[in-house]
Amino acid sequence: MGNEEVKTGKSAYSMGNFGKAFFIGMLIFSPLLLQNNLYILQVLIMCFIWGSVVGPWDLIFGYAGISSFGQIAFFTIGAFGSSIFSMKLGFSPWLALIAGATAASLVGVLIGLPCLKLKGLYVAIVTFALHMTLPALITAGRKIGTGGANSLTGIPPLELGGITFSVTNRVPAAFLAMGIFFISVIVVKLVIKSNIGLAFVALRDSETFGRCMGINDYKYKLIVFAISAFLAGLAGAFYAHYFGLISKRLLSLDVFVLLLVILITGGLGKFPGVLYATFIFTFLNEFLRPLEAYRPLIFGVITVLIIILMPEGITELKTHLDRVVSKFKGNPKKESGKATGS
Amino acid sequence: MDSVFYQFAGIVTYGLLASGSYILMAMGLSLIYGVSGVFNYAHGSLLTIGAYIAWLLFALFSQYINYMIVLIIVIPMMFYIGVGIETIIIRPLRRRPNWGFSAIIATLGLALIIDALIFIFFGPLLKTLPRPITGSIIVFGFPLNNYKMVMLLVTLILSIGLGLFFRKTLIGLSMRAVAQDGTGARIVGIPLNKIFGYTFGLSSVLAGISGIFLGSSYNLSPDGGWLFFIKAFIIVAVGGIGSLKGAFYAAVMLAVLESIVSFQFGNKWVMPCWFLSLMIILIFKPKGLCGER
Repeated sequence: MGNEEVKTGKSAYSMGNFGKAFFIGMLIFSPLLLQNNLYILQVLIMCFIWGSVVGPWDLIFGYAGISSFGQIAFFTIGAFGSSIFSMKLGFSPWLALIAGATAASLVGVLIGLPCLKLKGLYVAIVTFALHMTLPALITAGRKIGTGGANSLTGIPPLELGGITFSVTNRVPAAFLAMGIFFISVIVVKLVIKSNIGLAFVALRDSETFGRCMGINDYKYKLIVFAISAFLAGLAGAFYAHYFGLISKRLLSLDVFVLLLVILITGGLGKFPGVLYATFIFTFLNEFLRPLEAYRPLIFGVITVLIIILMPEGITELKTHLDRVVSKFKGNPKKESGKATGS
Repeated sequence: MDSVFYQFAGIVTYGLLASGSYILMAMGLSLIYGVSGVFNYAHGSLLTIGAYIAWLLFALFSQYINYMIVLIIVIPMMFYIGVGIETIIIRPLRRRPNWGFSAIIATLGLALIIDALIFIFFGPLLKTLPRPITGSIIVFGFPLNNYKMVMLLVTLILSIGLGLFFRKTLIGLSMRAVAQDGTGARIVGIPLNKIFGYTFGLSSVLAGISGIFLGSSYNLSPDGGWLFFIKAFIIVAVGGIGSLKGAFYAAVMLAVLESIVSFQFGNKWVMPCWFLSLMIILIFKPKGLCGER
């Protein structure tokens, strides 16, 4: 079986289309399979939420080369925006969902306008500054309904035909989360395959040549930045309506580092990679929860080790595995140029 | 009219005094970027380390110790911590192309490790450092806090010292050479690794000293460095990343702004206003006040 795959030029570890379809099928039916295990179902929903935040993050960080640290800030803006729209302004939760995401996207454009023109670290600095000042804004914004220093409670759940998608009704909520996850994944894939994605690849490979071809990367970067802020905001809005309770703890270092570890482990600019990493680390994060103070320590060590030893993320692990496997099988045709055949 | 003017002058003076504690940490953060191109996210945690070492010394030898001895012990310790960080974490990354972002993420991980270790060793309870100098003197009707004045004085002396260090000493000049052109510096025989190590050491020393300053004005907590890190971060971005002069001026300006805002609108509006001023500076002067690179 394995040998046949090697002959078709595929890596010995790639699952092939059948494997992929099986995997996605399992994912789609997982809420039904897990309906008796509410705790795991909750973690699964978190996987979908983080996945739809990290996917767009990889799009802007890995493909567009925008070193943004504002993805969780946009997530939080979406969450608070949607809650304010539904609670203060009386929008229906579905409309508020879109309005919150649009608000996140608008903030993204406002932030992006001055700083996407700059090279280097300025984007990182401005977006991280946004992330770090948002708690202060949330505390100060009690009058517009952010809940001030306390958490914001009583956010109305999303509802469709008598089914509520809330934390007390997790199976339909998981399907909705999955829907948002797939929307995010599909949008990211479409952008990567579109002209915009091609333009970014061209700029990454040869910036001077790309510019000579007339690529206006500022415009493209702004568009992609807005799209990824929208998707993060959408996930945040869902999060708010799902839990019915949000606070500025969303911006704590805990969440930030979890998503950052997912991003770098998945590999920058290697798109489906971050999705695998999302599932691995969201579950790992839950299983490490009993360790309390040691959990950030473990995540810190993982971050440093991965960035030093595996800069390409888990996809690199796969190439290593392939090399070992093909060496073990003694199939020198496969390892052309990658490993020195012994 | 007079009383309004006096009040305003008082607020500005208060801000100027407060800037003493910001200048050092911002200069440390800016220095490391200017020379090595690393934006050190662990700077806030280094601040916390400095403060906790001082607290530990006071807790262990409270009778025999004063701030002078604490500084003499903390400065070399922080220096070697900085050199160690550079050697273990940053040096392996430096061989790669486009390593600046890897370094950011690595230092973020490091910050997490340091914070967690401090939490594990010292516990979550707030700690306080003793205040060496208390009381205040009144000049033209403004009460001037003695301790803050001493801090500002020490900061100014250290800033002038740093300026001399970069102009007169071989290591300082080498650091400037590396900042301008790393390859060129290596061609003329400057040991790049050593200079990088020294830069991290010096920056950590500045972080440690400002950690002790801040620790004796506020309370110590394991993640307390982050608030000051984000402040240093905005100061440095406003002043121009990598510019010591810019960090100095921006620290003074933002401290005065902080004092005005917290007097007029309350403390919680300080960070939003800082962020707003950062955005305004970036729109009109994208590289910061004194930014060159």
